Amino acid sequence: MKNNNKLLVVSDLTKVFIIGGRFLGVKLVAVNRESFDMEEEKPEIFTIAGESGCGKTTLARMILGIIEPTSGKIFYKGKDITKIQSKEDRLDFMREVQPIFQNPFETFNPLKRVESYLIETAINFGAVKNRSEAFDRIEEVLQLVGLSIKEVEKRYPHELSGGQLQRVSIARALITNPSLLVADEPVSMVDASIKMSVVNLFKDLKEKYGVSVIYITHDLATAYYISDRIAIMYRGNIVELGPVEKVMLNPLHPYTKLLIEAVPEPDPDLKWKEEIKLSAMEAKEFAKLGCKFSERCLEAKERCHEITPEKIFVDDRWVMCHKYK
Amino acid sequence: MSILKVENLKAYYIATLYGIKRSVRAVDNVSLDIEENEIFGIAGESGCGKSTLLKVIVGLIKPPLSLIGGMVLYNSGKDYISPFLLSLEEFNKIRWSFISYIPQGSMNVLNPTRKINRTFWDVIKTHGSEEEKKNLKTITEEHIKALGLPLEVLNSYPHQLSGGMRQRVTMALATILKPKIIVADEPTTALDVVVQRGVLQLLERIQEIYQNTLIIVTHDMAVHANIAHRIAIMYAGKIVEVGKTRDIFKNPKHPYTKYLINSLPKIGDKSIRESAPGAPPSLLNPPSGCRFHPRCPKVMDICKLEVPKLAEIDSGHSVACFLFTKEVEEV
Repeated sequence: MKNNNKLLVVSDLTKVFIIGGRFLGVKLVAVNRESFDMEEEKPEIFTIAGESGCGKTTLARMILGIIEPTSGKIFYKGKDITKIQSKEDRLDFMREVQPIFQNPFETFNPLKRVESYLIETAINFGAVKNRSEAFDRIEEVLQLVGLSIKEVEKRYPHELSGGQLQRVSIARALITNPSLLVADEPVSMVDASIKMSVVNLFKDLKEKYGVSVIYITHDLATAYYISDRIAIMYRGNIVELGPVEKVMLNPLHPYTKLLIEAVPEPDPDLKWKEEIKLSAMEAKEFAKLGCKFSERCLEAKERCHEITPEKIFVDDRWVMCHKYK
Repeated sequence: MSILKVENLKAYYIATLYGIKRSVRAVDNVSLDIEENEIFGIAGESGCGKSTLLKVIVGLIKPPLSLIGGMVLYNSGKDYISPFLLSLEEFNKIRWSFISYIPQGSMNVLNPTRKINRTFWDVIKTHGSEEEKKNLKTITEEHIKALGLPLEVLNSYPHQLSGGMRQRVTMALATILKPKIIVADEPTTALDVVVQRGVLQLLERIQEIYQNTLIIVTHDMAVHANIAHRIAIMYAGKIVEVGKTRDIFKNPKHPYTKYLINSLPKIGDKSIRESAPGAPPSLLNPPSGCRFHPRCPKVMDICKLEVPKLAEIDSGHSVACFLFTKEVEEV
């Protein structure tokens, strides 16, 4: 199979949610037949970016195995993870792929001490044999994230700051020596003055320890800063996927253009000049035929409203737009 | 001419638990002068007291928040009035028509069972003058038109509108009686970037049309760079730097502001960004002296003992840091 040297292969992945009753409900296609892959040899930070409701979190949750895809396959190191049956295989997979969530204060139970999570993870995943070994391993991973066991021992989550706690949750994910971290908006709840230290940590993990990261975010500035490749999602589809310099500095898809132009620059010399138009009414774009962006697209032609565009490889990246055919 | 004056304002959250009184010093000795016809930004990270400062400015002081000292003065044209000294009745008169407040998450304040125009009429009926009450329909329509919003929103229910449009409707609502001061707390925080741009565009437009004063609070420095004329940087309940937007971004003085500005990632620039070491302090028990001193790379002995006073070092650029001033704040 061609999947041999791939860390992760996502192929034709679809998730349909049914809102309302089973028969009368409305179908919502959160992720629509999406595919991408990540190399095993070359660790990378892969960003999935998009507005709220574009399906980026659903995609991440399917990769983590938290929700089941409606159709499609996910291969992790050549194994189809949607077909995992035995407990051991599941545990093996969970050792390799670890999540980091958005709000560190919700990740940890407020009534439990922080280190108990670290010890439990170490023992449950079989990374260590007993408690004293667990402490050695914990000290090791805490040092990777710039903390020490003294700072977190016997502390409850509220006694740590948001940045510290997010580092602890990254340390927890590292206990099992994973090859892939799936981080869902890891810095959106962290204070501005310490945000970059968490972002830099991901960069370090990739460069020094060869950990690949799927970084899910709506913050395009940090996405540019850390990632190697980026996928821009819109209403369940990846509309543009490629190296971050190509996609963000020279966007091809009209939606990517709109998105990147709307990011405010932290520089008073680079203020927005022209005005933009927004749709007034709640959009029903999930159910739309053709290109889902066509209602908002300034360059839309007739076929955009009727035919779903195919993915085309242009200038080092995949674009899903009729314009480039 | 300043339209709003904040003088040595102190507002603490006071909680008593088992007879032990603890106070969170959210706003501690803050002084500000906000001019007429300007967009004034207040920046700072979560928990630095910026929202509390806004609440006190608009006179929304409810326990456990309590006013410890200082004064807020509005310049009504004839004389200075303070929201703390007005009776509830008098205060209701100036709300919406002189000062209006757009709270955080305001896209969810619209009544889901009433059409938008009803909500507009309600505001005019309660706070408007007799003249305005007579023409409430035309006033509403003209206002919506002037702001460039589609007229059909007036005839819609809130759930029919997109989140960004709801947010813009509440902004139109806050400005219907042409207040002199508009105070907006994190107006774009929960929005997507494209919508955020639309909302900020509207705020700028409102300010241009009515030439009033806009006070905008957000932690997003990029928003400030795009919209504010002047910025105040808040850290742990105190204002550490005030200046024109250009000066703050191009020539930051306070070590905290420097960290804040230099750590901002930019699209097209991959050079390494560093965060300030450590974490913001708890306001229950803030550090002695300058509150930034435990994290400051240029800390001196005096910083641990005395509190630096916000002092003007350049025209219109004030800093509270002993690197630039010798003035000590009286406690």
